[in-house]
Amino acid sequence: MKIILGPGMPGQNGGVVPPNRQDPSDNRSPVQSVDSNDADSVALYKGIPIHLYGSVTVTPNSSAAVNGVALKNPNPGPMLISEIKFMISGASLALQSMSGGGLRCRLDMGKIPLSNGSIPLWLYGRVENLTQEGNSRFMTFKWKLPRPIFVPSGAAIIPTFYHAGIPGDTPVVASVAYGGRAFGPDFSPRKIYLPYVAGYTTKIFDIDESTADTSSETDLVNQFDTPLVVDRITGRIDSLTTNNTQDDYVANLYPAAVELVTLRMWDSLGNSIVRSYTPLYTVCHGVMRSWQLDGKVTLPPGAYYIADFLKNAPGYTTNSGNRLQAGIAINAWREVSR
Amino acid sequence: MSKIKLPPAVSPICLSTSVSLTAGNTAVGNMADLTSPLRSPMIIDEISFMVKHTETNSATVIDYPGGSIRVKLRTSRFDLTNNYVPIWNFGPVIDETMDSASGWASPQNSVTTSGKDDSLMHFLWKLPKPLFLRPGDMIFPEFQRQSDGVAGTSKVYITYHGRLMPIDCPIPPEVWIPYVSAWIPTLVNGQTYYVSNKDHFFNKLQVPLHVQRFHPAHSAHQLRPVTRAVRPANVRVGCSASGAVVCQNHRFQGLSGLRRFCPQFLCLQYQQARVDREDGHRPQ
Repeated sequence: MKIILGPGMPGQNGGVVPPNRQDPSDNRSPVQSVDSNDADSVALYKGIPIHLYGSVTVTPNSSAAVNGVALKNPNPGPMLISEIKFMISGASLALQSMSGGGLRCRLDMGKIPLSNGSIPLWLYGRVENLTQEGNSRFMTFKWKLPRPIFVPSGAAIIPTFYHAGIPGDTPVVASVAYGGRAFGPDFSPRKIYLPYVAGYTTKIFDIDESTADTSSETDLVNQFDTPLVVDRITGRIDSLTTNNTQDDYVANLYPAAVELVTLRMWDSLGNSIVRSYTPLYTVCHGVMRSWQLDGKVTLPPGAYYIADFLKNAPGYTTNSGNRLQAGIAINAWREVSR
Repeated sequence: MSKIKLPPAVSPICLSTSVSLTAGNTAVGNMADLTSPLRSPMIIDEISFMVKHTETNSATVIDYPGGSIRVKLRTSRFDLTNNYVPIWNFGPVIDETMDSASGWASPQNSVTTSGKDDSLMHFLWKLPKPLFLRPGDMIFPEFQRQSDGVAGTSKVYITYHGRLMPIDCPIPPEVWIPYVSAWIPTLVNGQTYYVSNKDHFFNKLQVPLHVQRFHPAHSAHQLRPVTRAVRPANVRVGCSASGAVVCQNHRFQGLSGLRRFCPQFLCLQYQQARVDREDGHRPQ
């Protein structure tokens, strides 16, 4: 593989000089004409791949943060993170299974929140392949960011995991990985985008009960003074039993559960988003568990969505002991000035 | 196509309704559920279907095929389909294991224990170009279930995902209209060769059709377990204007790269988008 250096790459401004550039006779001109503020030039100048990883053991009903040193940008230049990946694995064999709904995460970059509190891991991204998310004691989730996030040198995106105590008393190992590209110190994009997730998790429903639950004005909200561009709305249903939590598909609850949890939504101006009670997996497409908006809708500063869940009682005998918990999130990004 | 800059959307919008179908029946969706609130204009980005098939006798439960449930879509002014089109012919497969009921959501493992078993399917049609709906307009669905010999009831959800536009949003002089036409040959025992006629893939409109994709799909209704064996169905496609499209007999699945399980009868469909003039000229 051949990497052509551009301006500001390590080696150009005090960074590490790759071996092939230490030869003084090598007088090839780097791509000095590239302007890092120019979109076309930035497109030409792709950076180098970078991957950061950290993990922490989280005990039930408590939170734990990953060591920030492992996730800190190690380079003299900034990096653009394009995807954030989560992994859950059992810390002991006592754990039968745990879904992405049982473990939550709050993401912050310094003082900048990237999530509205602790959000269940599986509400960060859409489903790529539900059967491959895993089950049993190992699960993975990926949040492919709609716009890469700019991480300056020395900064870090710090995840703080929270174990909701479901199921039981078993600790889990939570891991996070960032994938992106590293650039030289001179790299300075004209626009900076910050992703954001705001979510709401319902109370736990007994599968036999008929009840309702509604989010508040502070859940699915744009708390910033800039508009949020909504990329998607993600929804999931968790199946809870004594010893495990699973996606309702994995729990073989799916065909029945799909009509048990219905939803309607409106925004802060009263506009209907989901007009009448509709099964969650028709609002958020059942295969992807998400409603892909592709940034065609914005949420103004201070505006919010309200999600009103209605849990229907099944009209037939069900597995006793099953419980359900639904969650919904808006996955968005915003543009900030430098 | 003249362009007009539309204002930003007010909010996303999701409209959904459901019908229950038994074999050989037709049903229409509830218009009240599918109309824009406050008669605001809308832009529809995608149409999705979910089918929940409930079988009361688990001994005969099948993986219910999307080919048996068909829908005819139209707005107040234009048809969006040439006739009833199988719901799995609208869009490409997203996740093969989950798009159809084949091998998924196994009824035997369903939560139900009182003699009812469920299977589930999802299908998504992401429109090639967003469909602008005037104030008060809607997409009107008519469903049909074939006499497939399968007991039980199929509950079909149709959902429109889109954006709610401001009430004072200007009406574009021309809009893109998605269009689907399908051909589903009626199988005859012993016959191995079927040819569509001029009415099946015929541009009956006064404006050109822009073909987006061919979407072949096999279907079958057969008892579980579903086999993944693919029968050697081949297809040739010709065009009245340009001659051969698929010159020689080509493996059916290879036409689009899609693989469908349980092949038994053949269905070929294509999907198009066209520019439609709204200057009073009504091509239909």
